[in-house]
Amino acid sequence: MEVRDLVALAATGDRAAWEALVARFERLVWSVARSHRLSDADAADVCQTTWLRLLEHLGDVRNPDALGRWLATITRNECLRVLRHRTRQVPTADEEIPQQTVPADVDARLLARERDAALWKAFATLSSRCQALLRMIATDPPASYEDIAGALGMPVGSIGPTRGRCLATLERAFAGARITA
Amino acid sequence: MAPRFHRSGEDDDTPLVAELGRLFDTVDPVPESVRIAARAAIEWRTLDAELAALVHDSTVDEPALALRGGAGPRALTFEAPHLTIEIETEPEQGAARDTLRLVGQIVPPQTAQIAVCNGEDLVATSADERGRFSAPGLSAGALRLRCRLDDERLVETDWLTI
Repeated sequence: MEVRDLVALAATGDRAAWEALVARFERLVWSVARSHRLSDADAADVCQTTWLRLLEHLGDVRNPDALGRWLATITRNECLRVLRHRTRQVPTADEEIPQQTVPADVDARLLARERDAALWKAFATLSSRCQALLRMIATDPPASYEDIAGALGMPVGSIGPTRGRCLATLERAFAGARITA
Repeated sequence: MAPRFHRSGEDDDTPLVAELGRLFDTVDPVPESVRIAARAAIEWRTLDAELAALVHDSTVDEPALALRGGAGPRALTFEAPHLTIEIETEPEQGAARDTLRLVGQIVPPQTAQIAVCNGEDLVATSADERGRFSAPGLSAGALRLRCRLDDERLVETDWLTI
C-alpha cells in the first residue's frame, strides 16, 4: 500500500495502517538516532518522540512522498536537543554515560564470520561523518539523498560526492583489515 | 550535477553497502522494546485516559518556601485512582535560553512510557523500574504529562503552567 494511503488510514486510528507505517520507516528513524551517537536509552526516547509527533500530525501530512525526510529531520532535531542539554549539565553519578554506538570490539558471537568482523573494524576507523552517512545509505529500505540530507544536516548536493569518498575510504580500510585479521 | 531527488538504492548495487547494511541489522537492530512502543503509540489516541488531578503545588501550598531564597525546585503532585505522579521543576543551570528541567517519580514505582506535552512540543521519555523519569530543556508555559503504564492503561495529568 502507498504511504499516502497508509497515512490517511492511520489518521483515522487504523492500527494496522499505523503499524505498516512504523514498519516502513523504523529503521530509518533508529539509524538517524544512532548516527548521532546517542545512548540506548536516549535513542529509544528520541525515536518514540518522533513517532508520537507523527501521530499528532498525521492529518497535516501534505506530501507523503517526503515523509522519510520529515521523519529524519524531526529525529535529527530531537537528537541535537538531547545532545545540547547533556553537554550543559554535569552528569550525576547514576546518569548513564553515552556509549560509543559504533564499537570497535563487537561481541564475537554476533559476527561469527571473520569477514564481517573485519568489515566492522574497518568501519570503526572512519570519521564520524562517514560513519553516519554510510549508515544512512546502508539502511534498508534505501533512503533518498533528501532523506539523508535532512537526517545529517548536509546539503543534498554534497551527499553523492561524500558517499563516494567515504566508500573508497571504507574499501581501503576493509582491504587492510582483512590482511591483518 | 547530482539529481535533485536521488534514490540512493538505485546506484547502490555496491555489494559493500549491502554487506554493511546486513552488519547493522546484526549488531544494532531496532530494539524490540522500541519497535513495540512505536506500534503501540497509536493507543495514545484511541484509549481513554484516567485523569491524575493536581493535589499539591509547592508554589501555592507552601508559598513561604518560595519567598525564602527563591530558587528551590517547584514540587507538584498528581493523584490518579491507582497511582501518584510527583514531579519537580527547576530552571536549568547555564542554559542559553530560560529552560526548565523536570524530574519525576511514579508511585508505586513502575516502568512507563511518558509523553511530556510542553506547549506545542511533545517529548517522549520513560520511567525506569523505580518509577523515575526526567525531561530537560522544557520551556515555560503549558505542561501536561501522559503516562502509558505496562498494563496499557493511560494516565494523564491536568494541564498546568510551569
